[in-house]
Amino acid sequence: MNRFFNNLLSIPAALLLMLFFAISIGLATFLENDYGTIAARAVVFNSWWLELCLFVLCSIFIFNIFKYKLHSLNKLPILFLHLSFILIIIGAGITRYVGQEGVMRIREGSLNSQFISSNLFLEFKIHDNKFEYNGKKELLLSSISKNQFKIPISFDHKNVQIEYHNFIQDPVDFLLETTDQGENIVEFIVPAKEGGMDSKYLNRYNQSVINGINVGFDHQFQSDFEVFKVDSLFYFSSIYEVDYMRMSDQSKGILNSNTKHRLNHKTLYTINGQSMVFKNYYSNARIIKKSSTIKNDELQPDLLQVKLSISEKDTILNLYGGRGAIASKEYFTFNGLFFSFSYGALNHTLPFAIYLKDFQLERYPGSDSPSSFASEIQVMDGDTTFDYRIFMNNVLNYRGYRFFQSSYDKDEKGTILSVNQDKWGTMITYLGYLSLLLSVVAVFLSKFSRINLLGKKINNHRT
Amino acid sequence: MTHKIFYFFWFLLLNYLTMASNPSLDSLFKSRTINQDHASSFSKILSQDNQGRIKPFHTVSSEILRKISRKQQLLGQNPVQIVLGMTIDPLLWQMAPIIKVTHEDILKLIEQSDLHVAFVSFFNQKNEYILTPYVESAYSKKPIDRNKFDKEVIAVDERVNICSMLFSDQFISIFPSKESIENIWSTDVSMQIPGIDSLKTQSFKYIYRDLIFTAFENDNWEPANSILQFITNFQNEYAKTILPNTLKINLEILYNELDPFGWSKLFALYLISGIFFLVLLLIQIFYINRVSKLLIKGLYAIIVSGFLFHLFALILRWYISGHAPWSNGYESVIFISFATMLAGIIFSKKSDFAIVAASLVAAMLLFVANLNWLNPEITNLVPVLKSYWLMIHVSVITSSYGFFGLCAFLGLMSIFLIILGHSQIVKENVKNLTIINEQSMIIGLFLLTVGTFLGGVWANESWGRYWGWDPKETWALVSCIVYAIILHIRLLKSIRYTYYFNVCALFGFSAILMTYFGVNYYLDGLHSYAAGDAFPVPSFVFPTFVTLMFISFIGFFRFNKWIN
Repeated sequence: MNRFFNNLLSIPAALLLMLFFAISIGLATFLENDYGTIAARAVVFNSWWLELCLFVLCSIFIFNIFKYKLHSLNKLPILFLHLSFILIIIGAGITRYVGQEGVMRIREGSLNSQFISSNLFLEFKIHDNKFEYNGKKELLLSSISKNQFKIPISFDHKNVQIEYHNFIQDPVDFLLETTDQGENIVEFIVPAKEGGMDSKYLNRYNQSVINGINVGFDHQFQSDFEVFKVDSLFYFSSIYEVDYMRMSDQSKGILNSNTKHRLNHKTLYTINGQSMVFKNYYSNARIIKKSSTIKNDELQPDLLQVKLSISEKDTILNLYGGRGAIASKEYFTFNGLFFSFSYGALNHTLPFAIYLKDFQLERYPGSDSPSSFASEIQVMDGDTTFDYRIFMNNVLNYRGYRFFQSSYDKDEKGTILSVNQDKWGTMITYLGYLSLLLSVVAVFLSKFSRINLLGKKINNHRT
Repeated sequence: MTHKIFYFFWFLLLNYLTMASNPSLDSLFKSRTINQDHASSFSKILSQDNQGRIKPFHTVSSEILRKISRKQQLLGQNPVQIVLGMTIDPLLWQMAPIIKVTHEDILKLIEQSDLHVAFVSFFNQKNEYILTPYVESAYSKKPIDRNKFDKEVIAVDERVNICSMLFSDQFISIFPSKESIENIWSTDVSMQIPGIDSLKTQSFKYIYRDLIFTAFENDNWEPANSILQFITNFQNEYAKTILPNTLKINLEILYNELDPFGWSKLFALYLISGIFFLVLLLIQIFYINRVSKLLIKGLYAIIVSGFLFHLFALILRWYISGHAPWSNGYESVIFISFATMLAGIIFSKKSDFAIVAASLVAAMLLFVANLNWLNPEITNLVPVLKSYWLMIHVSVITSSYGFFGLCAFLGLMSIFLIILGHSQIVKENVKNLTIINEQSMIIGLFLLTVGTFLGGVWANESWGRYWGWDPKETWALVSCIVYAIILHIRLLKSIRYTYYFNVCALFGFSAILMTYFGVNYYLDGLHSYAAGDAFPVPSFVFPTFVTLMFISFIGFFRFNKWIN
């Protein structure tokens, strides 16, 4: 055992670990390029083994302080040089585990004291008429990491378990034709957001928003655009007037609202300015969710499927969520208990509020390009209120929170600030930087530092 | 984007467009070139920039031209001629290839292939600005999330905007306000000249334009020259107290013309003499003779005189600007470069390599200054990217690259020497080179580490996160670790240390290459290797690598004789 530690804490081990660390983070940048930032974090940057690697490196150094007598006066600059790295690593740890980051949106003329976290959480609540259980778990999910988690809860003498089932990033509907237990599904083609075409599916007896239009397929309640199946023919009725254009002969026309019309193939229907084409009907098919991207599009919600089991019975929950938005909660009852589940950012409340007086966007004359943007805000903290102007490079620093001008609403009437609370992490890291800077200077000044000893050697050779 | 002037002249442009591919455009540029003497008188006219500084038109025009085309001269005309031409004769200049575009994807968008593009090329048949969707998408991202294409689009858009402002004459503010000295200067003023058609007497601009166009035809520039007196008188009448004196104006023009920190002056001097000096020092290892000694003295004198010129230019800048020359990022970089040279000259007593290293680093710093200059000066675009911290951290990191480059070079030299023989003289010199190499690497690692962490400070002050595992910073950290490992090899106490160190110094540089070029090249987010995109390696990389490996391999066996 002693020998093992001696080997582990030796210089060759340290150099190998450093090499391992460098290779890992270097490869991670390629993962980031291909699969997105979150994937690179989940697999490498935030992984336990990278942290262990840093921890062992720090231990090796502390061990070698004594071996190489770095605490002697001559070697003091080198000691501090290395200690500053330990400080920086400690500061980074605090930032990682204690610091908070998020985004705060404020509209002009309104007050806000909440911001939403950048990290994502699974949040859940269980209750019956007697007890209530609130839980949350921070998650870093990606298509290439293991993602596994299991949360066992003992709730009112029942064993409740929440377990990871599947993660699908940027999910899209995908139609699978089956031979058994399939459903009746219609397929519409609508223009995609990024150009091109998208398929949208609708199950019979269901209702869904397709291209901004509320569409129902033999649904029990009224929809803006209703599709009926009568024997093998399809009809529709709309609360709007519908323009149509038949692709085969380019014939056009307008169809009355609230009237039953035939729903034809290969015809472009324009309902309230939105176009769609009836593509196909499947009598025995199923819709599954599939990932549409390799690299996670952080603006698109992802799908987290969790397995909820209560004593032998289980069910799969579909939770949609992503960065920058509070997830909507799913409420349901299962096996006699009431649940709410959500996957997304958390809401944090500040101990004070910020009022946005004015958001200013300056443009270059004669163009739409922004030249600078700024938020005129007022901080309201009990009896204290004061005005402040947040703009690029001018940060509001108040009660340990820092606010940065990050972006703005499209209509230019609201600001988006990034919020950061990490006083100690930043301070210790900065202290590490300062110590680094000073020890570098000291190394140059010291007579005993390697660089100056080398200088003497070369002089000896010359003479 | 609203280019009003553009719509106004659209019908005329249609005529011109047919000529764009026609040699007659060249002759049109020749016949409509503003006379050199006239331009030189106009260069002394004072103008107010958008930050309120009053400076000669000479400065304004060279800043503008550098901004839009990154050049000092174009189409055989100087900046004053071009910028004046753009203001007076927008129709012609909208077709001149003056806007610099480097990114291939942007060139594809506007269907151009040359690196300088005409203003009209940015508009499609329907007269829509082609870049609009890309500019919007770039600005809708957080600065930290913008990729290379976004940044290029923003830069090109800024250039187009400046041109658009020039074409609609919103840029050259030469008339102080009659009401108050504090007011912003205007671009035009009404003037009355008796005996001239009363319709046109309303505006100086119209009269001036008329005079210039007449001069294009009859080549008589007297009237145009004499109207400049009107501007001078007007400025003296309404803004006398805030105008700089003639000496200052002339010195500023001298400074512009000297362009001491530009590519062709101090940068070239430091770089070229630094390299020559280094080569001579390496030759001197084998034979010291009178010629090489004399040459070294000569180079030393050249570098020192460059240093004195550097000092002179700083003082000049100090006098012109009225404040010490380290008030912004650009000035701090040229000052750090000065300080580096000072340090190099002081240490040159101990080793000639000090002054070589210093001049190479100073050249690197001036290189950075030239890459960034001016962006802060005319139009402040996304100020977060132009902060003080950024300039310092970039220049510190970049200067470390200079040291590592030296290390790789010295490493290769040593391996060659090891292969050449194992006589006492060679051994002595390899030892010396290795010592210098190690010193240089220590300095480089310190600079890189401090620079990387300064980058953390910059990021924290800009968007509240000091470390975000961004590819560039991650690779800077990789480089730090790689060189830290190399510098710790000596603790392994191998008898082959000299050999290992030099080989590592040579190959370690690939980490720097990856950080500096590779990250932009491979990790721009547009390629996805997982989706099957090829990993493009420039064709010279593989043969170079194999050759270097081969040389190191031979060195390994030749080193056996050293040990025995």
